[in-house]
Amino acid sequence: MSDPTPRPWLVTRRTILQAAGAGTLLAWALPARGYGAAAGDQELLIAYLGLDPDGTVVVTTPDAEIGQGIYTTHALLIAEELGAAWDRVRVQFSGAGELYRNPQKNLQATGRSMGTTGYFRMLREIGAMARGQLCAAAAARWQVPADECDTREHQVVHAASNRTAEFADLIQEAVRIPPPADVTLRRAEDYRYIGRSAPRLEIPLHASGRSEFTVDLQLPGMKVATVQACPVFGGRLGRLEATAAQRMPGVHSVHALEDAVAVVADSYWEALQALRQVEIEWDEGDGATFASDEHAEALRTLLASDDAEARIAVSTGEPDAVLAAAAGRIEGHYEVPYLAHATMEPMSCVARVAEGRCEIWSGTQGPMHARDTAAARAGIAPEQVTVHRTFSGGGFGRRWQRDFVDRAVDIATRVPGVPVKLIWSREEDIRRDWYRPAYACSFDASVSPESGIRALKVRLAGAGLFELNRPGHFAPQPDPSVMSGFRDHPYRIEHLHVDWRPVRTPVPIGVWRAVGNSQNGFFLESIIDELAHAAGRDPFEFRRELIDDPRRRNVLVTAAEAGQWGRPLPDGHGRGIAFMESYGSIVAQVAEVSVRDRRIRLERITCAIDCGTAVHPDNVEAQMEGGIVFGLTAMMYGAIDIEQGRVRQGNFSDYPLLTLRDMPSRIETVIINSGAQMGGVGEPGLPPAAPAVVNAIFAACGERIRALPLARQGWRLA
Amino acid sequence: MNKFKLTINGRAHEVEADPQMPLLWVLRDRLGLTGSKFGCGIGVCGACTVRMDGAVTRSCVFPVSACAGRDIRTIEGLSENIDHPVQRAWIEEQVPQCGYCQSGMIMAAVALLEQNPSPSDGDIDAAMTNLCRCGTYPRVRRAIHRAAQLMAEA
Repeated sequence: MSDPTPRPWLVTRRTILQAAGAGTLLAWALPARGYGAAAGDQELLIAYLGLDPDGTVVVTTPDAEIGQGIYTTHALLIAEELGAAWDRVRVQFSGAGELYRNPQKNLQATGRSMGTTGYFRMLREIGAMARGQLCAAAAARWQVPADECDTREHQVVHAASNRTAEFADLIQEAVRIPPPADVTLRRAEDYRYIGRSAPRLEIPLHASGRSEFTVDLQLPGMKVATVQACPVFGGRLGRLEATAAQRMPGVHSVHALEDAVAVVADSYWEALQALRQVEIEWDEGDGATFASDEHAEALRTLLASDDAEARIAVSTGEPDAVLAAAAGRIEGHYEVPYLAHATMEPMSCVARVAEGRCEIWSGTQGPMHARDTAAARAGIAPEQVTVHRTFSGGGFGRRWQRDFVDRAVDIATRVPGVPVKLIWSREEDIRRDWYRPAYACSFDASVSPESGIRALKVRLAGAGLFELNRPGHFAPQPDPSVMSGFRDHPYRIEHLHVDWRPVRTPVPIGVWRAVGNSQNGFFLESIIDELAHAAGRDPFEFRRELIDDPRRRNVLVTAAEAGQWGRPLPDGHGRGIAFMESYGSIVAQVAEVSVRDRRIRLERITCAIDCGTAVHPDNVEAQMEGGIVFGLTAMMYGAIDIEQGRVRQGNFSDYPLLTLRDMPSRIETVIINSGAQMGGVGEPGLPPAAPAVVNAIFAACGERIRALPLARQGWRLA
Repeated sequence: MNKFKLTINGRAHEVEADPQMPLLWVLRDRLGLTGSKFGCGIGVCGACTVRMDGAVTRSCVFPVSACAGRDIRTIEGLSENIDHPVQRAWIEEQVPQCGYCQSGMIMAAVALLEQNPSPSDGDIDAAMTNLCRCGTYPRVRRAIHRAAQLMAEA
């Protein structure tokens, strides 16, 4: 179990208090650096960094480790400035709290690909403050100026006198020295960790089964629970008959929740067996009439309508007039379905409620709101809630939601004092998700070989994430979640109109890796490809000429070169290219496929990314690979269907993922360290993947794919 | 509830469980061996993969009553110091992302390499049916080739 309490910087908090004089912790607090709630430097240090008596550096990460590698990246940023030896650095997860807020979003939350960019400066400053204390301690001992000392490999070094001192030997002296008011961060040319790929610290844990996920927790007296909610969204529990279930072996108790039934037992399996024996009548409510195919039809109607509410996102020039006058008209209609996250670890949370206190253990992506929702459910103040965090078996936005915390606390409240480990079945996980919304898109354009895109009109229809519970909130502006890519596209288009037609849905929708970019990348980059072909132009050359910004153009060109764009291919093979900028990073990908009888083989995918500075290049590559596979799984298979208000899919048998045999023989990534403002990497690899492949399929066989997933239309992977 | 004698990673255990209880939950909830993971409960995803008398087995659908007298191997028994050649290869290739499916991946890879010390890409594709939502597949493939090399050099 991870220790939720902030690890004291230098030995123990008590030592610091004694050293400073009781109660004078705040007297040390230097002018806040603007991080956290008026946090002083000493408080920040204690929150993020500890040095054990044996010299082990303990870094506390405020983010969820959901596969994006932030566990290592945060440690690396502190180690860089502190001058730590990599094999003497350890990481733990923080609890929830204001001190852990991401400075870029003022919230402790793992998402929007901001774990590295948001904490980049603060964690280095914390490392540098600690370095200052250690150097000052050594300087005092050696009677030399502190600014002649530096740190390296877990030692303070005074080069002029050739003296060194181990961090561990300096603790007792360093603890009495306040952190320096001003710190100088290391120069980029002196970096020892940033820009190199130190072995990731979590990997040996994962390779040995020793990393602790929430489902792995074992606490004294703990019980295991599982739950079934009303299969219809918005429905409630009617009545239940649980006598038989209650008597089953290993069963502790059966609980009627507002909209669900839970069983608490000695093991997950016993809980699940008992849950299946509970006779349940649901009060399904209005949601039971919802069907996703009717919803898709409603989106088509909205796109075709000239009277529907249409909120304008982009409007430049006079596209209507140009389109009316122009030849070379081209139109198209695109669709994507609802998608589930399907993290490998189903939703899970451990909770213990007793005597006005609540403790939760979770891989949550939002520790502060997990804390607050636990407090609300338990009827106590947030200060009475302790959040412990574990590794997360995948996130992708799913663990940003709080429903699994609510459920665990609801159950734990009914068995006071007993730690309850709630594990959802896979079926519950797929059927009670917060889905990527279904979307439809139509376009009307005019092109010519000479002038490129004369005019383009795009209509989008679907539900807005941020208007889910407050329709019309952003009107007349579109919901900010839906326009990604269309507002910040790189292309020179003089006459452009993009609008959004909102729709309401009873389906819970939420952030899903890359959010609006996930569908808009497919729409926009397929459309651009269609326009290139309609204009009789090479899709790469067409894009390159429409991108004025040199940095963006360079990413496109780099991907094309790495993907050997233009080099002759055998019959039945094709290359496609796509570009998408998201979360501050610019990505272009080239896919090469072969197609025969609607059987596709992914031959090769090449990716170029400019994220400004790659802090951990190997992890940037891993995230590009992961984003591509995630995007291509959605392209090939991803679809959640809802009939009579119920999600039809329920497991990997009907919500399949790509497997190892589907992988191209090569996925290569070229990283461009442009030095521009740093962007994220967890999500930006995803949006270009599907359009690059469908564009390659078009190049290979001439068939334009305008609806996903491909498996729905008879395509198979070879 | 019945009593079952199990041999797990060479050690004898006695557990009390319903005969139908899948081995996965005996490992996890009765014996505290949580390295094998729960992903689907229907034997599809492979996060629960263990080896039984050497063979790759989806423990989430394998009843404990069928385990008696058999040699059960889990990720916990692979090595003390995380230095089995497959684990070393996994670390050298920096395979895991979230890590959740990796115990099962590694157990499947160990079984493959014992049967086929130098697998081709096609052999790896055929043998490795485990699901990974993070998309570590390209690195899994590379790590299996590297593990084959490490084992050949040993």
